[in-house]
Amino acid sequence: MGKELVKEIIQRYDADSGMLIPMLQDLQAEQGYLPVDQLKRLSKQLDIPLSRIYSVATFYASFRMAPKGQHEVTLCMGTVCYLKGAEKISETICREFKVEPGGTTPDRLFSYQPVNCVGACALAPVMIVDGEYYDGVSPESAMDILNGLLLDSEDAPPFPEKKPAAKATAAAKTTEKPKPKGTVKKSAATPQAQTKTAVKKLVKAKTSTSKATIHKTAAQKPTKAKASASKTVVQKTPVKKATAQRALKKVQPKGSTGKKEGSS
Amino acid sequence: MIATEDRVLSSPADLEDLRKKIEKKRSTIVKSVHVCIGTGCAAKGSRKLYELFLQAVKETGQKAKISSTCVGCHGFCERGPIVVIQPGNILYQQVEEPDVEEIFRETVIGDRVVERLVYQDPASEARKVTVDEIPFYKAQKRVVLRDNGHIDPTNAEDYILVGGYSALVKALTTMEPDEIVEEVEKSGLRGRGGGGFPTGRKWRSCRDAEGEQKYVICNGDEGDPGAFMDRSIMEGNPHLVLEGLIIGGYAIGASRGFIYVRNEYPLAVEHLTGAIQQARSLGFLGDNILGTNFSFDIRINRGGGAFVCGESTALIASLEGRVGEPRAKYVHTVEHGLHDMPTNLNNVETWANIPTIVKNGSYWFASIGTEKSKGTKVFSLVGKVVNTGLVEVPMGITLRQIIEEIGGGVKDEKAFKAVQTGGPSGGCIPADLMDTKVDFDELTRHGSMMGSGGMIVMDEDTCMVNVAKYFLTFLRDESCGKCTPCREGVPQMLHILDRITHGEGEMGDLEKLEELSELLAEASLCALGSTAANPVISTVRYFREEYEEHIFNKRCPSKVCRGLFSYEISPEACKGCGICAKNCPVEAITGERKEPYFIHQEKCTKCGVCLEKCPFTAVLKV
Repeated sequence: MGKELVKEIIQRYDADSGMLIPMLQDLQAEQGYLPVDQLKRLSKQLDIPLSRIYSVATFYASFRMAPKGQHEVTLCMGTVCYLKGAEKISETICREFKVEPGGTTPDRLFSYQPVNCVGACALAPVMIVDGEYYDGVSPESAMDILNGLLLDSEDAPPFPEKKPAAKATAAAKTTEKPKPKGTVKKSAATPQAQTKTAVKKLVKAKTSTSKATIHKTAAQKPTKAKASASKTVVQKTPVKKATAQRALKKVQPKGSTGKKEGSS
Repeated sequence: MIATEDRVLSSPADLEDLRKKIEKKRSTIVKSVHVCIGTGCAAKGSRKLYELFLQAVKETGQKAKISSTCVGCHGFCERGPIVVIQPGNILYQQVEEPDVEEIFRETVIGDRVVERLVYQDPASEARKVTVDEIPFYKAQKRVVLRDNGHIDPTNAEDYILVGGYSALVKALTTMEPDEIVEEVEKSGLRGRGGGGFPTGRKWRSCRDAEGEQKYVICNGDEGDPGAFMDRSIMEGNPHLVLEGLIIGGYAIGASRGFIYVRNEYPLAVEHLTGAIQQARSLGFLGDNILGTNFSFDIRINRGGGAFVCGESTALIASLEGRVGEPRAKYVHTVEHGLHDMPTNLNNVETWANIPTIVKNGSYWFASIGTEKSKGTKVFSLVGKVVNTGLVEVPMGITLRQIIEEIGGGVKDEKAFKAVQTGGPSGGCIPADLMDTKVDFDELTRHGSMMGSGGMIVMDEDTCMVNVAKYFLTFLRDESCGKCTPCREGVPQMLHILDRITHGEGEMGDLEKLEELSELLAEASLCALGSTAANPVISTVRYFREEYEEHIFNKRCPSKVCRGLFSYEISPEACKGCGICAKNCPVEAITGERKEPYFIHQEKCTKCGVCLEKCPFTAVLKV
């Protein structure tokens, strides 16, 4: 199949080697990234050295040499977005989802790409998730939007294991980890899961309703997450759900977890 | 390619017939709703509004009388989504889905104004119903953006109805290519992409250059962060750009045109692609355009996400399928450009000015503006300003007029500090130079530049050292690495700035920055490198004390650079909820519930979590 794809793309541009960039763009649009095998085929059929193709593919920021995540998250780092706090948003995303700029989360949930400027400065700071623009984003609302993605993909198997979190929660997690399809409904009985379903609904609703809903989603959720998180810290009870773990991490940045536990 | 006989228009006279036909078809329409679907408004859900209006029109069964049109950017992005009702020019702002029914019932059917959706002047609280009454539009002069917000960018008929392609007909039927070049020369039009090189002179050189094939290129690789003029033009009126490019092709003697658009502008690509197809089937592109012996075609190329490709030679390299590295300037692209052939490259806004110059004449164009900068300029007015959006003003207007009259002043009643123009190659102009006229040479004289038209307003909370650092970080990442001064010099400067913003600045740092700036300006291969130091030079020039405060007193006066200011809890504002203490990662906050809390400075790592979490804004930066 791959062979035909490369052939077809080359034909689209009459095998004009000057059209290498559009060809790579088409290839990426079809495959989600630029697989090395395909590049080798392209090199052979166009009679361009692979090294040149590689240099082009790595020079331009929009090309990706590794498979992308299920979703595509773009954060604008233009001047206005920067002045309005985009850097902090980026830091938060990288920290909370263990992702590098230009990389993909370990669970392949989303690919994260900070870009120079999307030219929607009146909306700053702007985040784009799968082509949908979110305006006036804050670190908190960005987390909510991205946590919403997590929920959306939950019923899509296979869902790889997440990074182990704080010690206190590790035991609880192992009991929860082998999560086959179908248990989602059952676990919906727990309070955290209810929060999650509620958020999921809100996030889903966002696609069909106006911006007011988006803001509502952003405004409502943190309080809930915060409440459950702070409760966890005080009572030191094991948390069961991934979102709660994430919220827990949010309150206890690196290093502090161990210290607090040691002192108790 | 579409066979010549299948095309709608085979002679210049056909265009006028077509226009009359469209006019007649549309004459039954008594009311029309214009919904903005530019990226700004679309992000706020305007596409759905457009569909709802279409639905509403359908339900009334009066399709012949009422129309709903999607249009390009109105410019007033701050107040989006924008809906304009014609006739009457009634502008509704921040329209949401539930408002559609009311607008339709009251205004479209009932001829009444929905007061609550009308713009309200913040100062006088007076309601401004029509577009012309709103201060944001009053001081503007719209030439390039004239039809933006009035026509459907996906429909060539709309463009033809407002007189589109008549300039092309005029050029093809009544003017010799030389005459057109002369008109452009006389108009005084200068390149809108940044450099301000006289467009006519460039055209002349390219026309006179020897070469069996010539090319014209439209540079839509608008990479400056904080700028979206070209995006709005390409999205809102793609045919205008095409018309300019076709006229340019005819004048210069080129048979092929290219539009290089940023990858981050999907809507612009979509609208341009559609426009090219329509232009082909109408007969404005292809062989023997409008029955003349002039043949011309346009292709779109999407950029790969490299800022340096905004530079002409790097862009050409990219069009040739190579890495976007610029080359030395002594080889002129007008002689040896794309595929080593004479190539004329202009910016989107420059091309968009051409049809108007041809139609109205160079004299008309030259009557607008200052002695050396003619016409209008589109700016994206953004940052800490009340009315963000796209504005078009005559050259010679002052920065103060733009920011205060059109922009409505600085947001949240903060003090104005500086305005940044020209993107990463430009500089910051401080408050006491606010009466500077907007003009290519004036801005350059003050250490900034016109650039492509980003205008970023900064208030007292903006740290100028941090701004300089931002631009250098940007340029370090975008430097292609071909020439040493830029590849090595920019990171060196950034390293110094980084130290300064972390409280590790030393005596002599400013002098080192100045030295490196000189080196970059002198020795870099392309404009990216030679202007890279501008953000630093201009901020050192106007805000030297701020740098010194960072270096010698280890303090950030704007309280932006982490570690160069501290956090305190205001005992008056603190309600003693304890959220800050709970969230502090280093347990630096102590206190009793319902009593003011306290931050122990010796423990505090200045992470700022307490400030973010405090529900009563009792945590202060000091």
